Amino acid sequence: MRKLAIVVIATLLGVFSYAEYGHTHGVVGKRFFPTTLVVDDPFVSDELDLLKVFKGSTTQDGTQTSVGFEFSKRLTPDFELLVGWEYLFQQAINGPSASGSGNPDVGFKYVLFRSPEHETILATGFDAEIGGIGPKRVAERISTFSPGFLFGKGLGDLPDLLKYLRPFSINGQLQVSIPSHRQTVTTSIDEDGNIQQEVDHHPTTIPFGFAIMYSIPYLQSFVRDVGLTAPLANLFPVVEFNWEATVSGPNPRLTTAFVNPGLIWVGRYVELGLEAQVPMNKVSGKNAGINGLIHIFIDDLLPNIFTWTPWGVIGPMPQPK
Amino acid sequence: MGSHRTHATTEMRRLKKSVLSLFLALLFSVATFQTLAQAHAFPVRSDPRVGWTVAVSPPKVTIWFDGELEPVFSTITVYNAAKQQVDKGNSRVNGPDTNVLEVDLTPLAPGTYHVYWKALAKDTHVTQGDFTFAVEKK
Repeated sequence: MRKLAIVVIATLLGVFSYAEYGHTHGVVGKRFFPTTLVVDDPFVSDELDLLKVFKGSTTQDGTQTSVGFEFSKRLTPDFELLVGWEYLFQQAINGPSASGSGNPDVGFKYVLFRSPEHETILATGFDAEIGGIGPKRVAERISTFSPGFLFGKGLGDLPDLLKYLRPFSINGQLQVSIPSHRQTVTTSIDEDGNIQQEVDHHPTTIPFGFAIMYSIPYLQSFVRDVGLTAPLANLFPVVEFNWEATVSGPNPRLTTAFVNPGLIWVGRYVELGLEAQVPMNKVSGKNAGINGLIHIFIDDLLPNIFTWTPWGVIGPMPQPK
Repeated sequence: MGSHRTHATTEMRRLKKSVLSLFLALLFSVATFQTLAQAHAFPVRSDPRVGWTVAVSPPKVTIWFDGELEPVFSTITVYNAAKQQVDKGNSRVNGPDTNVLEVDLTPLAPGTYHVYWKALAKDTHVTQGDFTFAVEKK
Protein backbone atom coordinates (compact mmCIF):
# COMPACT_ATOMS: atom_id res chain seq x y z
CA MET A 1 0.00 0.00 0.00
CA ARG A 2 2.85 2.35 0.87
CA LYS A 3 4.56 1.59 -2.46
CA LEU A 4 1.30 2.28 -4.21
CA ALA A 5 1.03 5.66 -2.48
CA ILE A 6 4.59 6.54 -3.52
CA VAL A 7 3.84 5.61 -7.15
CA VAL A 8 0.66 7.72 -7.09
CA ILE A 9 2.39 10.77 -5.58
CA ALA A 10 5.40 10.51 -7.89
CA THR A 11 3.18 10.17 -10.94
CA LEU A 12 1.00 13.10 -9.97
CA LEU A 13 4.07 15.23 -9.33
CA GLY A 14 5.46 14.20 -12.71
CA VAL A 15 2.26 15.17 -14.47
CA PHE A 16 1.63 18.44 -12.63
CA SER A 17 5.19 19.75 -12.72
CA TYR A 18 5.09 19.67 -16.50
CA ALA A 19 4.20 23.24 -17.34
CA GLU A 20 3.42 22.95 -21.02
CA TYR A 21 -0.04 22.39 -22.38
CA GLY A 22 -1.34 20.97 -25.62
CA HIS A 23 -3.15 22.97 -28.24
CA THR A 24 -3.88 20.92 -31.29
CA HIS A 25 -7.37 20.76 -29.94
CA GLY A 26 -9.92 23.38 -29.31
CA VAL A 27 -7.89 26.28 -30.70
CA VAL A 28 -9.63 29.21 -32.39
CA GLY A 29 -7.53 32.36 -32.74
CA LYS A 30 -5.50 32.79 -29.54
CA ARG A 31 -8.05 30.80 -27.53
CA PHE A 32 -7.63 27.22 -26.36
CA PHE A 33 -10.83 25.55 -25.13
CA PRO A 34 -10.21 22.41 -23.10
CA THR A 35 -12.70 19.56 -23.37
CA THR A 36 -15.54 20.08 -20.91
CA LEU A 37 -16.82 17.18 -18.84
CA VAL A 38 -20.60 17.53 -19.16
CA VAL A 39 -21.25 19.77 -22.16
CA ASP A 40 -19.74 18.59 -25.43
CA ASP A 41 -17.25 21.01 -27.02
CA PRO A 42 -17.58 22.24 -30.64
CA PHE A 43 -14.10 21.17 -31.83
CA VAL A 44 -13.11 18.25 -34.03
CA SER A 45 -9.89 16.49 -33.10
CA ASP A 46 -8.02 13.24 -32.67
CA GLU A 47 -8.59 12.69 -28.99
CA LEU A 48 -9.30 10.04 -26.45
CA ASP A 49 -11.39 10.36 -23.32
CA LEU A 50 -9.28 7.62 -21.82
CA LEU A 51 -11.34 7.30 -18.69
CA LYS A 52 -14.63 9.00 -17.89
CA VAL A 53 -15.91 8.37 -14.39
CA PHE A 54 -19.37 9.45 -13.30
CA LYS A 55 -21.26 8.92 -10.07
CA GLY A 56 -24.70 10.47 -10.39
CA SER A 57 -27.00 12.04 -7.85
CA THR A 58 -29.49 9.76 -6.11
CA THR A 59 -32.87 10.20 -7.80
CA GLN A 60 -36.25 8.51 -7.28
CA ASP A 61 -34.97 5.71 -9.55
CA GLY A 62 -31.72 5.17 -7.65
CA THR A 63 -28.08 5.90 -8.34
CA GLN A 64 -26.07 5.31 -11.50
CA THR A 65 -22.30 5.10 -11.69
CA SER A 66 -20.38 4.66 -14.93
CA VAL A 67 -16.86 4.32 -16.24
CA GLY A 68 -16.12 4.56 -19.95
CA PHE A 69 -14.17 6.05 -22.80
CA GLU A 70 -14.73 8.00 -25.99
CA PHE A 71 -12.50 8.10 -29.05
CA SER A 72 -12.73 10.71 -31.79
CA LYS A 73 -10.88 10.70 -35.12
CA ARG A 74 -10.76 13.45 -37.72
CA LEU A 75 -11.25 12.50 -41.35
CA THR A 76 -10.85 16.08 -42.55
CA PRO A 77 -9.82 19.23 -40.63
CA ASP A 78 -13.54 19.95 -40.01
CA PHE A 79 -15.10 16.50 -39.69
CA GLU A 80 -14.67 13.78 -37.08
CA LEU A 81 -16.19 10.44 -36.22
CA LEU A 82 -16.54 9.34 -32.62
CA VAL A 83 -17.35 6.23 -30.69
CA GLY A 84 -17.91 5.80 -26.96
CA TRP A 85 -18.79 3.11 -24.49
CA GLU A 86 -19.57 2.88 -20.78
CA TYR A 87 -19.79 0.23 -18.10
CA LEU A 88 -22.77 0.94 -15.85
CA PHE A 89 -23.51 0.27 -12.19
CA GLN A 90 -27.11 0.83 -11.12
CA GLN A 91 -28.43 0.78 -7.57
CA ALA A 92 -32.21 1.00 -7.27
CA ILE A 93 -33.78 2.64 -4.18
CA ASN A 94 -34.52 -0.24 -1.80
CA GLY A 95 -33.96 -2.60 -4.70
CA PRO A 96 -31.33 -4.73 -6.35
CA SER A 97 -28.13 -3.48 -7.88
CA ALA A 98 -27.11 -4.34 -11.41
CA SER A 99 -24.09 -3.78 -13.57
CA GLY A 100 -23.00 -4.36 -17.14
CA SER A 101 -21.85 -2.73 -20.33
CA GLY A 102 -24.06 0.00 -21.73
CA ASN A 103 -24.97 0.49 -25.35
CA PRO A 104 -22.27 1.96 -27.61
CA ASP A 105 -22.51 5.57 -28.78
CA VAL A 106 -21.44 6.54 -32.28
CA GLY A 107 -21.60 9.89 -34.03
CA PHE A 108 -19.93 12.65 -35.95
CA LYS A 109 -19.19 16.35 -35.63
CA TYR A 110 -18.69 18.97 -38.34
CA VAL A 111 -17.39 22.53 -37.90
CA LEU A 112 -19.65 25.01 -39.70
CA PHE A 113 -17.95 28.31 -38.86
CA ARG A 114 -14.75 29.66 -37.31
CA SER A 115 -13.81 33.27 -36.53
CA PRO A 116 -10.27 33.41 -35.12
CA GLU A 117 -10.39 37.17 -34.46
CA HIS A 118 -13.58 36.79 -32.41
CA GLU A 119 -12.57 33.42 -30.91
CA THR A 120 -15.85 31.94 -32.11
CA ILE A 121 -16.74 28.51 -33.46
CA LEU A 122 -20.00 26.81 -34.44
CA ALA A 123 -20.45 23.12 -35.16
CA THR A 124 -23.16 20.58 -35.76
CA GLY A 125 -23.13 17.01 -34.54
CA PHE A 126 -25.06 13.79 -34.41
CA ASP A 127 -24.94 11.04 -31.77
CA ALA A 128 -26.66 7.68 -31.78
CA GLU A 129 -26.95 5.24 -28.88
CA ILE A 130 -27.34 1.84 -30.50
CA GLY A 131 -29.96 0.08 -28.42
CA GLY A 132 -30.13 -3.59 -27.57
CA ILE A 133 -26.39 -4.28 -27.50
CA GLY A 134 -25.77 -4.00 -23.76
CA PRO A 135 -27.49 -6.42 -21.36
CA LYS A 136 -31.17 -5.72 -20.66
CA ARG A 137 -30.61 -5.24 -16.90
CA VAL A 138 -28.73 -1.95 -17.45
CA ALA A 139 -29.00 -0.95 -21.13
CA GLU A 140 -31.94 0.34 -23.15
CA ARG A 141 -33.45 -1.95 -25.78
CA ILE A 142 -34.20 1.01 -28.02
CA SER A 143 -31.89 3.35 -29.90
CA THR A 144 -31.73 7.12 -29.42
CA PHE A 145 -30.71 9.62 -32.11
CA SER A 146 -29.47 13.06 -31.08
CA PRO A 147 -28.76 15.77 -33.66
CA GLY A 148 -27.58 19.10 -32.29
CA PHE A 149 -25.56 22.29 -32.46
CA LEU A 150 -22.47 23.26 -30.48
CA PHE A 151 -20.75 26.62 -30.04
CA GLY A 152 -17.73 28.21 -28.39
CA LYS A 153 -16.96 31.89 -27.78
CA GLY A 154 -13.95 33.46 -26.09
CA LEU A 155 -14.19 36.97 -24.69
CA GLY A 156 -10.80 38.06 -26.05
CA ASP A 157 -12.36 40.89 -28.08
CA LEU A 158 -13.55 42.79 -24.99
CA PRO A 159 -12.21 46.37 -24.68
CA ASP A 160 -9.16 47.22 -22.56
CA LEU A 161 -11.38 48.44 -19.72
CA LEU A 162 -12.60 44.85 -19.27
CA LYS A 163 -9.32 43.11 -20.09
CA TYR A 164 -9.38 40.88 -16.99
CA LEU A 165 -12.62 39.36 -18.30
CA ARG A 166 -10.95 38.36 -21.59
CA PRO A 167 -9.80 34.96 -20.23
CA PHE A 168 -13.47 33.95 -19.86
CA SER A 169 -15.05 31.73 -22.47
CA ILE A 170 -18.36 29.99 -22.91
CA ASN A 171 -19.21 26.86 -24.85
CA GLY A 172 -22.52 25.12 -25.12
CA GLN A 173 -24.73 22.65 -26.90
CA LEU A 174 -28.37 22.12 -27.80
CA GLN A 175 -29.64 18.70 -28.88
CA VAL A 176 -32.85 16.84 -29.51
CA SER A 177 -32.81 13.19 -28.38
CA ILE A 178 -35.31 11.16 -30.36
CA PRO A 179 -36.02 7.54 -29.36
CA SER A 180 -36.52 4.90 -32.02
CA HIS A 181 -39.70 3.73 -30.17
CA ARG A 182 -42.09 5.87 -28.10
CA GLN A 183 -42.86 2.94 -25.79
CA THR A 184 -41.98 -0.67 -25.27
CA VAL A 185 -44.23 -3.31 -23.74
CA THR A 186 -42.88 -6.25 -21.75
CA THR A 187 -45.30 -9.17 -21.34
CA SER A 188 -44.91 -11.80 -18.63
CA ILE A 189 -47.00 -14.43 -16.83
CA ASP A 190 -47.13 -14.24 -13.04
CA GLU A 191 -47.31 -17.14 -10.57
CA ASP A 192 -51.13 -17.29 -10.86
CA GLY A 193 -50.99 -17.59 -14.63
CA ASN A 194 -52.14 -14.03 -15.27
CA ILE A 195 -50.65 -12.10 -18.15
CA GLN A 196 -48.80 -9.00 -16.95
CA GLN A 197 -47.83 -6.12 -19.22
CA GLU A 198 -45.30 -3.47 -18.29
CA VAL A 199 -45.18 -0.36 -20.46
CA ASP A 200 -41.99 1.73 -20.59
CA HIS A 201 -42.33 5.19 -22.11
CA HIS A 202 -39.39 6.64 -24.03
CA PRO A 203 -39.91 10.38 -24.36
CA THR A 204 -38.23 12.78 -26.75
CA THR A 205 -35.97 15.07 -24.74
CA ILE A 206 -34.01 18.27 -25.31
CA PRO A 207 -30.62 18.19 -23.57
CA PHE A 208 -28.91 21.57 -23.47
CA GLY A 209 -26.26 23.30 -21.44
CA PHE A 210 -23.26 25.59 -21.36
CA ALA A 211 -19.89 25.85 -19.63
CA ILE A 212 -18.24 29.04 -18.40
CA MET A 213 -14.52 28.88 -17.71
CA TYR A 214 -11.63 31.19 -16.89
CA SER A 215 -8.33 30.42 -18.63
CA ILE A 216 -5.28 31.07 -16.45
CA PRO A 217 -2.97 30.39 -19.47
CA TYR A 218 -4.84 33.06 -21.48
CA LEU A 219 -4.57 35.52 -18.59
CA GLN A 220 -0.83 35.04 -18.31
CA SER A 221 0.01 34.90 -22.02
CA PHE A 222 -2.20 37.68 -23.38
CA VAL A 223 -3.50 39.91 -20.58
CA ARG A 224 -1.11 40.06 -17.62
CA ASP A 225 1.55 37.73 -16.31
CA VAL A 226 0.49 37.39 -12.68
CA GLY A 227 3.45 35.16 -11.86
CA LEU A 228 1.70 31.81 -11.50
CA THR A 229 3.77 28.72 -12.26
CA ALA A 230 2.91 25.06 -12.84
CA PRO A 231 0.60 23.50 -11.90
CA LEU A 232 -1.52 26.60 -11.20
CA ALA A 233 -0.55 28.21 -14.53
CA ASN A 234 -2.37 25.42 -16.40
CA LEU A 235 -5.70 25.60 -14.60
CA PHE A 236 -9.15 26.37 -15.99
CA PRO A 237 -11.75 26.92 -13.24
CA VAL A 238 -15.08 25.95 -14.78
CA VAL A 239 -18.80 25.84 -14.03
CA GLU A 240 -21.07 23.83 -16.29
CA PHE A 241 -24.87 24.01 -16.34
CA ASN A 242 -26.95 21.32 -18.00
CA TRP A 243 -30.63 20.60 -18.40
CA GLU A 244 -32.69 17.87 -20.04
CA ALA A 245 -36.31 18.77 -20.80
CA THR A 246 -38.83 16.05 -21.57
CA VAL A 247 -41.09 17.14 -24.42
CA SER A 248 -43.24 14.04 -24.97
CA GLY A 249 -44.59 11.08 -23.03
CA PRO A 250 -46.47 11.06 -19.69
CA ASN A 251 -44.32 13.78 -18.00
CA PRO A 252 -43.71 16.34 -20.76
CA ARG A 253 -42.51 19.11 -18.41
CA LEU A 254 -40.05 17.04 -16.45
CA THR A 255 -36.72 18.85 -16.57
CA THR A 256 -33.55 17.73 -14.85
CA ALA A 257 -31.07 20.49 -14.08
CA PHE A 258 -27.55 20.41 -12.68
CA VAL A 259 -24.76 22.85 -11.92
CA ASN A 260 -21.26 21.33 -12.15
CA PRO A 261 -18.45 23.39 -10.63
CA GLY A 262 -14.92 22.07 -10.95
CA LEU A 263 -11.38 22.39 -12.21
CA ILE A 264 -9.69 21.40 -15.46
CA TRP A 265 -5.92 21.06 -15.70
CA VAL A 266 -4.26 20.85 -19.11
CA GLY A 267 -0.77 19.49 -19.72
CA ARG A 268 0.96 19.05 -23.04
CA TYR A 269 -0.52 15.64 -23.82
CA VAL A 270 -3.15 15.14 -21.17
CA GLU A 271 -6.10 16.92 -19.64
CA LEU A 272 -7.50 16.07 -16.21
CA GLY A 273 -10.90 17.25 -14.99
CA LEU A 274 -12.92 16.91 -11.83
CA GLU A 275 -16.37 18.39 -11.20
CA ALA A 276 -19.14 18.07 -8.62
CA GLN A 277 -22.63 17.47 -10.01
CA VAL A 278 -25.13 19.43 -7.92
CA PRO A 279 -28.84 18.94 -8.65
CA MET A 280 -30.84 22.17 -9.07
CA ASN A 281 -34.32 20.66 -8.52
CA LYS A 282 -36.00 17.69 -6.84
CA VAL A 283 -36.37 15.72 -10.07
CA SER A 284 -32.59 15.80 -10.54
CA GLY A 285 -31.74 14.14 -7.24
CA LYS A 286 -31.05 14.87 -3.63
CA ASN A 287 -27.27 14.77 -3.26
CA ALA A 288 -24.17 15.74 -5.23
CA GLY A 289 -22.60 13.46 -7.80
CA ILE A 290 -19.11 13.58 -9.26
CA ASN A 291 -17.55 13.65 -12.75
CA GLY A 292 -13.93 12.81 -13.55
CA LEU A 293 -12.00 12.74 -16.81
CA ILE A 294 -8.59 11.73 -18.12
CA HIS A 295 -8.33 13.04 -21.66
CA ILE A 296 -5.40 12.38 -24.01
CA PHE A 297 -4.33 14.50 -27.00
CA ILE A 298 -3.35 11.44 -29.01
CA ASP A 299 -2.33 13.22 -32.21
CA ASP A 300 0.29 15.15 -30.23
CA LEU A 301 1.37 12.06 -28.33
CA LEU A 302 1.61 9.80 -31.40
CA PRO A 303 1.47 12.17 -34.39
CA ASN A 304 2.64 9.67 -36.99
CA ILE A 305 -0.36 7.43 -36.28
CA PHE A 306 -3.23 9.70 -35.39
CA THR A 307 -2.83 12.46 -37.98
CA TRP A 308 -3.33 9.89 -40.73
CA THR A 309 -6.56 9.73 -42.73
CA PRO A 310 -7.52 7.94 -45.94
CA TRP A 311 -7.28 11.37 -47.63
CA GLY A 312 -3.82 12.28 -46.36
CA VAL A 313 -2.19 13.58 -43.23
CA ILE A 314 -3.97 16.28 -41.21
CA GLY A 315 -1.95 18.95 -39.49
CA PRO A 316 1.75 18.49 -38.79
CA MET A 317 3.93 16.92 -41.44
CA PRO A 318 7.13 15.03 -40.59
CA GLN A 319 10.13 17.32 -40.83
CA PRO A 320 13.12 16.37 -43.01
CA LYS A 321 16.16 15.38 -40.96
CA MET B 1 -32.41 -11.52 -4.84
CA GLY B 2 -29.86 -11.39 -1.98
CA SER B 3 -27.44 -13.55 -3.88
CA HIS B 4 -27.86 -11.37 -6.96
CA ARG B 5 -27.08 -8.23 -4.91
CA THR B 6 -24.03 -9.85 -3.28
CA HIS B 7 -22.73 -10.97 -6.66
CA ALA B 8 -23.24 -7.51 -8.14
CA THR B 9 -21.55 -5.82 -5.15
CA THR B 10 -18.54 -8.14 -5.42
CA GLU B 11 -18.34 -7.52 -9.15
CA MET B 12 -18.56 -3.77 -8.54
CA ARG B 13 -15.70 -3.87 -6.01
CA ARG B 14 -13.57 -5.95 -8.36
CA LEU B 15 -14.23 -3.55 -11.21
CA LYS B 16 -13.52 -0.51 -9.06
CA LYS B 17 -10.13 -2.04 -8.16
CA SER B 18 -9.45 -2.67 -11.83
CA VAL B 19 -10.44 0.89 -12.73
CA LEU B 20 -8.14 2.27 -10.01
CA SER B 21 -5.24 0.15 -11.28
CA LEU B 22 -5.94 1.25 -14.85
CA PHE B 23 -6.11 4.90 -13.75
CA LEU B 24 -2.70 4.66 -12.05
CA ALA B 25 -1.13 2.81 -14.96
CA LEU B 26 -2.43 5.42 -17.37
CA LEU B 27 -1.15 8.32 -15.30
CA PHE B 28 2.25 6.64 -15.14
CA SER B 29 2.24 6.05 -18.90
CA VAL B 30 1.27 9.65 -19.61
CA ALA B 31 4.01 10.98 -17.34
CA THR B 32 6.55 8.71 -19.05
CA PHE B 33 5.44 9.55 -22.58
CA GLN B 34 5.45 13.30 -22.14
CA THR B 35 8.95 13.83 -23.42
CA LEU B 36 8.56 11.60 -26.47
CA ALA B 37 6.35 13.74 -28.65
CA GLN B 38 6.03 17.28 -29.89
CA ALA B 39 3.11 19.70 -29.91
CA HIS B 40 2.35 23.37 -30.53
CA ALA B 41 4.68 26.01 -29.17
CA PHE B 42 2.96 28.40 -26.76
CA PRO B 43 4.59 31.12 -24.64
CA VAL B 44 5.64 30.32 -21.09
CA ARG B 45 6.94 33.78 -20.11
CA SER B 46 8.36 36.93 -21.62
CA ASP B 47 10.63 39.88 -20.88
CA PRO B 48 9.14 42.48 -20.53
CA ARG B 49 6.38 40.52 -18.78
CA VAL B 50 2.91 40.47 -20.30
CA GLY B 51 0.91 43.53 -19.19
CA TRP B 52 3.67 45.00 -17.01
CA THR B 53 5.24 48.47 -16.92
CA VAL B 54 9.04 48.74 -17.03
CA ALA B 55 11.05 51.65 -15.66
CA VAL B 56 13.41 52.10 -18.62
CA SER B 57 13.32 51.24 -22.31
CA PRO B 58 14.17 47.51 -22.66
CA PRO B 59 16.88 46.63 -25.23
CA LYS B 60 14.84 43.72 -26.62
CA VAL B 61 11.68 41.64 -26.27
CA THR B 62 12.26 37.98 -25.41
CA ILE B 63 9.62 35.23 -25.33
CA TRP B 64 10.27 31.76 -23.93
CA PHE B 65 8.13 29.02 -25.54
CA ASP B 66 7.22 25.53 -24.36
CA GLY B 67 8.57 23.87 -27.50
CA GLU B 68 11.26 24.16 -30.16
CA LEU B 69 10.73 26.74 -32.92
CA GLU B 70 11.53 26.80 -36.62
CA PRO B 71 13.75 29.92 -36.94
CA VAL B 72 12.71 31.00 -40.44
CA PHE B 73 8.98 31.42 -39.82
CA SER B 74 8.94 32.52 -36.16
CA THR B 75 8.78 36.28 -35.68
CA ILE B 76 8.18 39.12 -33.22
CA THR B 77 7.16 42.63 -34.17
CA VAL B 78 6.59 45.52 -31.79
CA TYR B 79 4.46 48.63 -32.41
CA ASN B 80 3.86 51.84 -30.47
CA ALA B 81 0.47 53.40 -29.81
CA ALA B 82 0.65 55.19 -33.18
CA LYS B 83 1.06 51.78 -34.87
CA GLN B 84 4.66 52.53 -35.90
CA GLN B 85 7.07 49.59 -35.81
CA VAL B 86 9.68 50.12 -33.08
CA ASP B 87 11.67 46.90 -33.29
CA LYS B 88 14.82 46.58 -35.41
CA GLY B 89 13.30 43.93 -37.70
CA ASN B 90 15.82 41.31 -36.60
CA SER B 91 13.57 38.84 -34.77
CA ARG B 92 15.34 35.54 -34.34
CA VAL B 93 15.41 32.25 -32.52
CA ASN B 94 18.07 32.59 -29.87
CA GLY B 95 20.96 30.47 -31.13
CA PRO B 96 21.28 27.18 -29.28
CA ASP B 97 18.09 27.70 -27.27
CA THR B 98 15.47 27.07 -29.93
CA ASN B 99 12.65 27.62 -27.43
CA VAL B 100 13.46 31.36 -27.23
CA LEU B 101 12.37 34.04 -29.69
CA GLU B 102 13.64 37.63 -29.43
CA VAL B 103 13.88 40.94 -31.25
CA ASP B 104 15.96 44.08 -30.61
CA LEU B 105 14.20 47.37 -29.94
CA THR B 106 14.96 50.95 -30.82
CA PRO B 107 15.04 53.22 -27.73
CA LEU B 108 11.44 53.49 -26.55
CA ALA B 109 9.77 56.63 -25.29
CA PRO B 110 7.35 56.33 -22.35
CA GLY B 111 4.08 54.78 -23.51
CA THR B 112 2.33 51.51 -24.28
CA TYR B 113 3.70 49.02 -26.79
CA HIS B 114 2.04 46.09 -28.54
CA VAL B 115 3.97 42.89 -29.19
CA TYR B 116 2.80 40.51 -31.93
CA TRP B 117 4.40 37.08 -32.16
CA LYS B 118 4.09 34.14 -34.50
CA ALA B 119 5.69 30.78 -33.73
CA LEU B 120 6.16 27.82 -36.01
CA ALA B 121 6.83 24.73 -33.92
CA LYS B 122 9.13 21.98 -35.11
CA ASP B 123 6.06 19.88 -35.86
CA THR B 124 4.84 22.73 -38.18
CA HIS B 125 1.91 23.77 -35.99
CA VAL B 126 1.61 27.57 -36.08
CA THR B 127 0.57 29.62 -33.06
CA GLN B 128 0.29 33.37 -32.75
CA GLY B 129 -0.66 35.95 -30.19
CA ASP B 130 -0.08 39.42 -28.87
CA PHE B 131 0.33 41.33 -25.62
CA THR B 132 1.17 44.78 -24.38
CA PHE B 133 3.76 46.27 -22.05
CA ALA B 134 4.45 49.87 -21.09
CA VAL B 135 7.49 52.06 -20.49
CA GLU B 136 7.09 54.24 -17.42
CA LYS B 137 6.64 57.99 -17.75
CA LYS B 138 9.41 59.94 -16.01
